[in-house]
Amino acid sequence: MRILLVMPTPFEGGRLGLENVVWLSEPVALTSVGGAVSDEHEVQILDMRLEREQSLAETLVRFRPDLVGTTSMTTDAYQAKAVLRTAKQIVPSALTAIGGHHPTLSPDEFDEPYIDVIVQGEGERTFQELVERWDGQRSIGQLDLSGVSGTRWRDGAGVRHLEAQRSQKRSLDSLPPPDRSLVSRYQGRYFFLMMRPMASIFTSRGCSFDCNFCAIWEYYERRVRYLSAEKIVDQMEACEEKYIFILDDNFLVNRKRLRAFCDEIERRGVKKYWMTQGRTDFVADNPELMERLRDCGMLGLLSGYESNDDDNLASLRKRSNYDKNLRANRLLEDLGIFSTGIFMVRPDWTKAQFQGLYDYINTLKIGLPLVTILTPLPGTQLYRAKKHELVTTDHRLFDLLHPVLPTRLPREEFYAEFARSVDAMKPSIRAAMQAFFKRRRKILLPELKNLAWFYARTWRFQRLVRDPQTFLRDEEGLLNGPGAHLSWDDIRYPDAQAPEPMDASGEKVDSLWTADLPHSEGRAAK
Amino acid sequence: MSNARKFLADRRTEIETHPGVNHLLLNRLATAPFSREDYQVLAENHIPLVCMFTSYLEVLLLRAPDSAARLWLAKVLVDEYGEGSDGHDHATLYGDFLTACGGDPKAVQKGAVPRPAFEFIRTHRDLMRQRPFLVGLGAVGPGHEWAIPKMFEAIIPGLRRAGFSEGEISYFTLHVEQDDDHGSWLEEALADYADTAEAQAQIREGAMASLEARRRFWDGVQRAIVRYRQPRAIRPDGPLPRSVPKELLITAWDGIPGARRVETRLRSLLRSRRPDIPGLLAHARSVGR
Repeated sequence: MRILLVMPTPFEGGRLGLENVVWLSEPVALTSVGGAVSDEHEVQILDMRLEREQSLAETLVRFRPDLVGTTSMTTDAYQAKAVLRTAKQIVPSALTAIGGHHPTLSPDEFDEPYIDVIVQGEGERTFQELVERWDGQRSIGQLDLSGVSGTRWRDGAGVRHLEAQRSQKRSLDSLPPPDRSLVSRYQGRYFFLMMRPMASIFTSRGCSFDCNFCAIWEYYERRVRYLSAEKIVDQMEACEEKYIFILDDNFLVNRKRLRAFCDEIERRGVKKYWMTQGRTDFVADNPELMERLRDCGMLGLLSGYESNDDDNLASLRKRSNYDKNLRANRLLEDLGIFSTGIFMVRPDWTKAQFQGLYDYINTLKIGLPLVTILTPLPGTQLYRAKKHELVTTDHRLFDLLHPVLPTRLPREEFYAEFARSVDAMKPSIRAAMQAFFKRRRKILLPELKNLAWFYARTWRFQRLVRDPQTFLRDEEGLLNGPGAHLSWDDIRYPDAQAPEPMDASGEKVDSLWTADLPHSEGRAAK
Repeated sequence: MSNARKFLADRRTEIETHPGVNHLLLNRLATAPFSREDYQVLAENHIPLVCMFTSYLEVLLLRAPDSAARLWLAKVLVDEYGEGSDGHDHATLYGDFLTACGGDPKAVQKGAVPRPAFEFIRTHRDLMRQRPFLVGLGAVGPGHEWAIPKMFEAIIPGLRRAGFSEGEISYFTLHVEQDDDHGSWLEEALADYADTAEAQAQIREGAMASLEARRRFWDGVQRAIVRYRQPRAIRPDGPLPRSVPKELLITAWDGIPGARRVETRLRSLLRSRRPDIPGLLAHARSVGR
């Protein structure tokens, strides 16, 4: 059977965006599900972020897949749907399936006639069973996925059926490893900052924290599972690339595991440079372990610093503080680990608060500060609390670069303050780069060519971001959400005393999986 | 089923699954909430095609080898002139849609035809005038009338989502209904000729050339919409890999203060070399005579 897996692009072809300037990682979601079936079936991955627009149609015509699958985060939900609609039009006999973060958390949005199957939760086993079942049927009119847990499927009469929730308790070691050969033709084109070629792997799923702006912990049902140290290092050894990005949502979380990981790297003598994501409180509290991780190849860390204000951090349920952020970044600087920090400005901010954040970033000396806008992403507690106040429901604007809630400042002024970040944070970048170069000269010198490449792209991107009109043009005609006409007095933002919502009950997590099927006459969940 | 009918049935399937008819832009319009401003860009690019369509039929009518073919072509033409739409010809209906988007049909008539539309029109002008009659018939029959209902079915839900009234989008809804008839009529015209391998090859050549031009046209419209939103965010080579020197050159060019002025002037110069819609129509009809 021929299977085409498509990574959608969050924006139209050729457009310069944060994703293709700062960080472009391998489509691990697709190499994972592809790896689960690639032994027995002919699988192709098409990464639309790196392809011309017409290659989707051309591939559909040439490859004539029996199954077309795609994945979707919130911002690329429309693009993912467009991919499957195109597939259904060109190859009507192909089964179309979608999975990933957004379809799992907002499945009703994907209840469309051109989408046969919505996969909820992690996909490897579900996809294996789905492919096996479809291989024996091969007729959309006769489609029957009864018993394939984790699916919402549409039968020949157009009725959507909801199957039981797929258990997400399996050890990660027991899952088939991602098949990176499926993206070998894009090798060399994935990168993080100036580090390329870059491979991407994951070593854990889930997060033990419960920030109200993040849905990861709900997606994985408050469970964190880890790949064993042996399996991680197996994957690292299998990568030809010099740089690896460990895509875990929070890599720095279990000291015992991290020590075992270092032991394994040292035992096998693996020489790779790697970057990952982790929390600053862990960094601040574990200086010795961080030093050991640095010695085992850790080159960069992407962390959510989020705010310069302890009250604001508390309102987000971040469970970290100003002091830890500061100590963490000092330690990273001393160790020569490049720090990339994500900060969130809030739609209710004043000009003074913007300036406070920029001053704070310059005090920290973050290598690459990324300033984003607090966004209630679908699936999060914040979304459930604020969805009636959204000024837009256009998912493309949920890219953390547009306020989707009403702003205290007029939007023009808000964007002017936001756009100012490019220049306001330069002292931070300059100081951090000097410190990093001093400590890691041997690594950086051979990469000067890539540094020039990165600089050129970011320079052009900065030109766009520096212009507030860029954001205003993006949202022109699209601010028609329920909160578009609310006045500032109608809005109540979460604060330290009352983070939104007041608590994170398990009931809310479960409701993601057992919601009724409002747009169909499907059977009740089994 | 006769040889000709089977050939035409196969072509219909081929056309309905063609990448030009199922372009990613059309599927985006179906799935994403585009605004009236976006649709204005689409309409300004699309209206020249609508205005020119009757001229293709007029040329073919004069070149038709017999009365039967002329009859089917004339039936379609009468509808295009407004028979099925209360006397409003299709260009007028499209003008109403453009007005609803916030555009000005009169200004569009006076301005140079946008490049994607101009290239599409030039391709079709050549197909009608320089290729055998059946190539032209393949382009306007299967290439247009079989393709348009499928394309508009993707566009209409997005227009409704953007808040256009049924009256404002009547051009599109009318075509989903009318072009089913037009497609059948032109299929009748084709059925009489499509019984030899040579004729079939000519019909297919016209249809495929038209759809390929359509694909390039939608590419251009997509680019125009992105450029409208982000004039400096797009590069013609899109996501293809660039060498380090090329990346540096692009950046250096963007860094020159006068670069944007040079680009604007160049674009304006190229635009001034393209005709307006009345000019294109006059040229097409003079050739017809």
